[in-house]
Amino acid sequence: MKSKTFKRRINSNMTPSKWIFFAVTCGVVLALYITFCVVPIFQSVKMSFYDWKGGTKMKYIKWDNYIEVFSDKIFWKALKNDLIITLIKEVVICFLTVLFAVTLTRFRIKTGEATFYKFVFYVPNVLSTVIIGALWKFVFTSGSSGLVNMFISLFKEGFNLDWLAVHPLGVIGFVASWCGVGLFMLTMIASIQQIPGELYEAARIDGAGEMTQLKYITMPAVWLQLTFMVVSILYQSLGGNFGLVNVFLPNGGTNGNAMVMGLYVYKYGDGESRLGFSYASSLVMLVITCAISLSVKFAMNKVGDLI
Amino acid sequence: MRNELKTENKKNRVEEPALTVTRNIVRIFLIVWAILIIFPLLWALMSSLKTSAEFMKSAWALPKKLQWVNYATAWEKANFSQYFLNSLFLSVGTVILTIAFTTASAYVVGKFKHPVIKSVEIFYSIFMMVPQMLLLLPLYQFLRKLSMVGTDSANVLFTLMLVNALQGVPFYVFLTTPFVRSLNDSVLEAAEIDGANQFQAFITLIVPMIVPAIFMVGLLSFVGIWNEYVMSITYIKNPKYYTLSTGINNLITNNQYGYDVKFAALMIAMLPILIVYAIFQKPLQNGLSSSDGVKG
Repeated sequence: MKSKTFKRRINSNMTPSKWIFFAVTCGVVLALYITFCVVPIFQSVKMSFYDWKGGTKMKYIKWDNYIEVFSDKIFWKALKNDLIITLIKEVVICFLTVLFAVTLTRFRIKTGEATFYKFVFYVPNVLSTVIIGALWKFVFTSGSSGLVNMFISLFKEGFNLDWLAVHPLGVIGFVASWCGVGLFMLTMIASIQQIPGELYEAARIDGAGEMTQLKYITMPAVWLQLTFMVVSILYQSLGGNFGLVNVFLPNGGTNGNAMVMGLYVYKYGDGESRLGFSYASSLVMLVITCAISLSVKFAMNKVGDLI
Repeated sequence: MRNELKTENKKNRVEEPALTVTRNIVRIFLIVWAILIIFPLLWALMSSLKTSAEFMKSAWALPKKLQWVNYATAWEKANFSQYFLNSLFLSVGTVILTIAFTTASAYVVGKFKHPVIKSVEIFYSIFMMVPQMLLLLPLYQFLRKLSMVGTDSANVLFTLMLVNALQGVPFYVFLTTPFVRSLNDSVLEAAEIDGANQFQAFITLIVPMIVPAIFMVGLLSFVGIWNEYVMSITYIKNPKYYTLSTGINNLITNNQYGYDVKFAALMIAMLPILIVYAIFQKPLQNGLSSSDGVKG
């Protein structure tokens, strides 16, 4: 009797033919995925407790790798740098995204003009990190051949600054925002366009101006999208600043002033081959990233309840 | 009624000046941002057509004579023809594998109902969130044990195809499943009653109906792999198998070539993808938040 009720609860439309199809297609892919993309991660969790340089020689050292990560000043510096870069990205991307998306949807800009902006702003998203990095590296180069220095020299004779050495975080934050605005602007536009037009119509008849409509209709409606945006920038940026930094300053700058967590993990794993230690730091990075992202999501949801 | 309309129009007209001012202020931001994006790209194009000496003298000035020879140098001497072919080979191979891996899985996840299938879907949605940095080095060690990568391995491009395609599976299944789910069940049931097995049903019924989704997966994964950077520089150690991103990564720190060749190489790597974007703007923009949504 019991098994019968259980069976009824399983909502299934499977037939033998479907099981075979599942096993041959989805099942095989899943097995490959687990072999290549899941097993190595679990192996790295295990090896993070070993002193291991990639050969057959390894020594179990309990939490020593983790203790070393936590007591390394450079790691904390990397975390701080990641947070600064992320903050720059959040501020620039959120401000410009909301501003542009609202303007392009609500402020009656001509369709052709809006299409042009959408086309141009999305261009960085189809370019490779290494191309963007190389391009901006040349733009910010020290000396007179750098475009930025050239530009400032027009107003201030003989201006020369090695931007990447002096302000690495600002440059990285700016370039990363340069890449992100287009993508998030398009998601924001899509979510504004989903707001029913009657709401605005009703507000207008009641005498609410554009700014009032923005505050009381648009913002609450897109708050969920904004939360998603803030959290996904945060989540992807904390571990993912590695790509750009590796093009700009593969050594992490002088005294680690451009070190980020991703590069920290990479440096010990690929260059110095201290694999156990590198794995430990990558797991610390994951935990920190998740903790920060989840708390920000929680806070944003709380704020969302208020408006 | 007429009066009401009139007052409404009046209100609109009162509002217009404020709106126009705001719009024009924002328009300045929009234009500045557009210039910030277009100008560096044009600057790279311009610099790729100058001699190195001209560039060092003035980064602004227009080229006196168009130096197409820079492109020839990058293409032949700096080996970018080889890198280009490697990138093309890798991208096409990955696209084919990605489509093969994801289409059938999306059909299973979208139309089959069973707790096991549901848990596969949940499993993928969790692993979609795993940061690339977590897998990068452990996977390299794993592949080295199987001699699928390394300086002496001739299979490194095939290995990259496989692992690139596998890493994309969760996202592309997630992307394709809604298309499959929206298909009408009655056609499938009719096929089942007619005695068609699942393979026949999949090939003759499902695939033709989700061609747009398959096309989108192909397009997104092509752009993604063409631009892929972190895995390529870590896994490809032999210059013979360098892709464009690996080649550029090495070229920018290589003093053997001047800025002229470097910019030409950048243009060579950039142009194909810009052309693809210009043609397929809409599908690419709709495939938002693709695997490398936020860069850097």
